[in-house]
Amino acid sequence: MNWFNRNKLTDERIVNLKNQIYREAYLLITIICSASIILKIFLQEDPSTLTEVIVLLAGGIYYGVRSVMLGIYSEEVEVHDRESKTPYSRKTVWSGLAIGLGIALFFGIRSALLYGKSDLQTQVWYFFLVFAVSLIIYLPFFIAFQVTVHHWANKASKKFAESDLRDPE
Amino acid sequence: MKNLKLKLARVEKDLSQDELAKLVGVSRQTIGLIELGKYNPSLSLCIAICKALSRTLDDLFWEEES
Repeated sequence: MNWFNRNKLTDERIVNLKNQIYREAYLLITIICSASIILKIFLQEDPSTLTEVIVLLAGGIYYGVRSVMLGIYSEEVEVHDRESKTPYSRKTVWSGLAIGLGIALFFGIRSALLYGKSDLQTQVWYFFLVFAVSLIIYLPFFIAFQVTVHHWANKASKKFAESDLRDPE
Repeated sequence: MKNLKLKLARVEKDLSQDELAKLVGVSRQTIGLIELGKYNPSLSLCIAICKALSRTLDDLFWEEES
């Protein structure tokens, strides 16, 4: 994008190293925001995590949209499927399953710790109740979400990649 | 692996690392690292270096199998 290239650097090594630093900085921000969300949820009764969620979502969405528009999403899938025994589409199902399970576990533990303070039996009851309900709600949602987004992104990315390959003459 | 061919061609052309770097539009460190074999330049940078030293890609960047 033009507004990133105002001070054009010609030394490719410096550009590569700067890109590596940006990648590490993004990872650092993701870790800090995630840690902040987890700590706030467990330590505060009425946590406000909107800022962190916006930072994480905006970064993720931006990366996703850019990788689709540049056509590298479908290329990554193509290279992955060529080398791996498990297709990328199946891995998206597994990732949806893992996210749903993780969120259900998270809410279960949080409810047990926050509301089941009296005794262990209540804590266990709260955990299983919230865990089961969260699993029913979030598991199908995240599997469907991951599969749909993957399907759409792969299709759109292929279209962009094809248009890049088209010879103008 | 060190790129001695590049270093030799640069010296034969009577250029310092800094002068070659200015000719191809990179930093002196980048040229130094290419000569030391610690950085793999892109094809366009290889071509720019070859043009600056009046050599071919084969002359500077092709490693003969021993």
